[in-house]
Amino acid sequence: MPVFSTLIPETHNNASPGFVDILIRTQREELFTGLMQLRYPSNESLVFTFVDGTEQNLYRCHENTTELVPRLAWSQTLGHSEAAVGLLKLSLEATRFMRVAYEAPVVRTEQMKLNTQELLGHAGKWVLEPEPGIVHVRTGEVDRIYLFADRSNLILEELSFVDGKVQFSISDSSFGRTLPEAEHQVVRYISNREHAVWREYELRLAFNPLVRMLMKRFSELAGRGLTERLCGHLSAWAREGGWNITISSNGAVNRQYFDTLEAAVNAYTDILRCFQSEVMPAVGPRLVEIMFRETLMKLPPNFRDILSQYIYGQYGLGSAALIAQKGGT
Amino acid sequence: MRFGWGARTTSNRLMQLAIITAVGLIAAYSVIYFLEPFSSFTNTLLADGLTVMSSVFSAVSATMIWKIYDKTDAPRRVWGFFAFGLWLWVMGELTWSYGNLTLPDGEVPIGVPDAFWIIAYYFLGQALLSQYQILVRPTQGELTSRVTWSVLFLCASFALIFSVLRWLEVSSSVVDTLVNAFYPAGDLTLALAAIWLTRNFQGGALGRPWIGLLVFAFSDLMYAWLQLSGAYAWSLDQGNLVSGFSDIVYFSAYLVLGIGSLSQWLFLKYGLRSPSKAR
Repeated sequence: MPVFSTLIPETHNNASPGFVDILIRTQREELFTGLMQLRYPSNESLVFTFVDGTEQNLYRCHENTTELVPRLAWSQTLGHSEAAVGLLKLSLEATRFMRVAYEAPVVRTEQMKLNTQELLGHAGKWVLEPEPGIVHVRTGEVDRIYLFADRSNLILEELSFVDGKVQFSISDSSFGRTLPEAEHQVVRYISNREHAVWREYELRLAFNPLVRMLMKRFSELAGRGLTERLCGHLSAWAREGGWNITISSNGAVNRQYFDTLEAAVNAYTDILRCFQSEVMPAVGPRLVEIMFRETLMKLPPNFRDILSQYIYGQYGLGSAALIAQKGGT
Repeated sequence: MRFGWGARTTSNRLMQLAIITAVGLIAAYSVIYFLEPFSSFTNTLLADGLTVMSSVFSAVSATMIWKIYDKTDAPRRVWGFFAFGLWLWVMGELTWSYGNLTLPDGEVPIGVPDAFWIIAYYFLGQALLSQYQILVRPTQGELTSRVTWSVLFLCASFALIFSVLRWLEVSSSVVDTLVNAFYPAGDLTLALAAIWLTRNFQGGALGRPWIGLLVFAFSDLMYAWLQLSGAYAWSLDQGNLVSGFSDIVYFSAYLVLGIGSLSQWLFLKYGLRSPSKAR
């Protein structure tokens, strides 16, 4: 959403194309993670997302729309006139958050002024709605953005912009209790759950409890020692695959920036395939299948749906074949 | 204890060593049983000594599994009961061997060894129950129902076998008949539980000891049947082919149980360490 570009503070005015190039190179060298905005006199702006010094996505923001620029067109897209450059350093989690904010399509917008109690009441309703949304709350000089996608209300990601600094946190629909008693300007952007950016987001949310429950079950069957060894092995496996995902008995610490849904699906499927291939010699195929099926059934319905669609669904519900089939391909 | 080898090599070599030793011991036991190369007493001493040794091997292997688990691990409870049950069987074998070597004709009456063997069934049952709870995570109602059905099955088969034995007048005393009827009933119950566990683990390393228990339960059933039918030979010089086969299977069953447990211990100690071939 273009409106979020206003939250990026401008650091350089009238930067020539050559200087913009130097700035981009500097961010690469400094392993910058965050957003870089280039605003042109034509009122068009471009926003790069960087993760560890590598450009991940480029967005072209018009007055009301945002467009994802294909990588091959990046060099042609960068303007040849002077630009105002803004840099916003973010954590990886915040960068992933902003990717959703930029890419999620807006179906409808609602604007309102609410006091804290009213905001709490609305948030309780928004979390249950079938379509996801992005809620922008402005209180005085403080901006807060929330991603309403998890219908089980376990996770509500929040990004606060205070004095040019950004803080990422996780809350739930009762987040309003932490806000000051004041009038809040609220804009709610209602989106479409079927869009790939939301599917990737929800899959990420669901993957962690899936792994945590699988590990817990394996620990019950095989003991803590073997489980810890398995976690170490899976983490090494993920690292070798180029994914910044660490597996522990408490679940997955996912610090990977996936720029497409397919990349995320492939990574999660590969990790589960590795889990399966390691665990099967210990407990046998039947228990592995039961383990996958029972774990899925215990997850909240929204997590179950997304995992069924992208991980389990392709291979049949009881997923001993989950991933063996994938391995064969 | 890695001898400078990698984890997988150590595990494979220790397993191979255990299997080769077991095959050698079975061969030695068979030679002693059928060829009787030494005096009658020495042959019996060696045969009984090997049986005690194999029972110690199975109990030590189960104890090693119990020890490798963390105190908070659910399977530790399974292996605590299982190892204790197997140590009671070791005591049963020891006292039986003593009787077999010292009593006239080697015929051991119902007594101390049976007390050890029978009490052991309780602990083995507890081990199976704990494993069932870990696998199925039943509700209290389901657990009560499953235990009730198992006890009813045990009682019914025990009552049936007892009635048949009384009708056949196999033993003169009621106590003897009660004890003799208990073994087949207990073995059958253990065997059914072991079949269920083996089916669930489907060849997984953590299910191998249950295959050993299954083999043991069947070998003990065969022994009980021979003893009740009067075909069992109490000393080697009275031995016959069926009796010999039963004794060899019984001896081997302890080794299978021990190797199954050792295999699980090796897996817990060295398993999951080499890079997966999945990628």
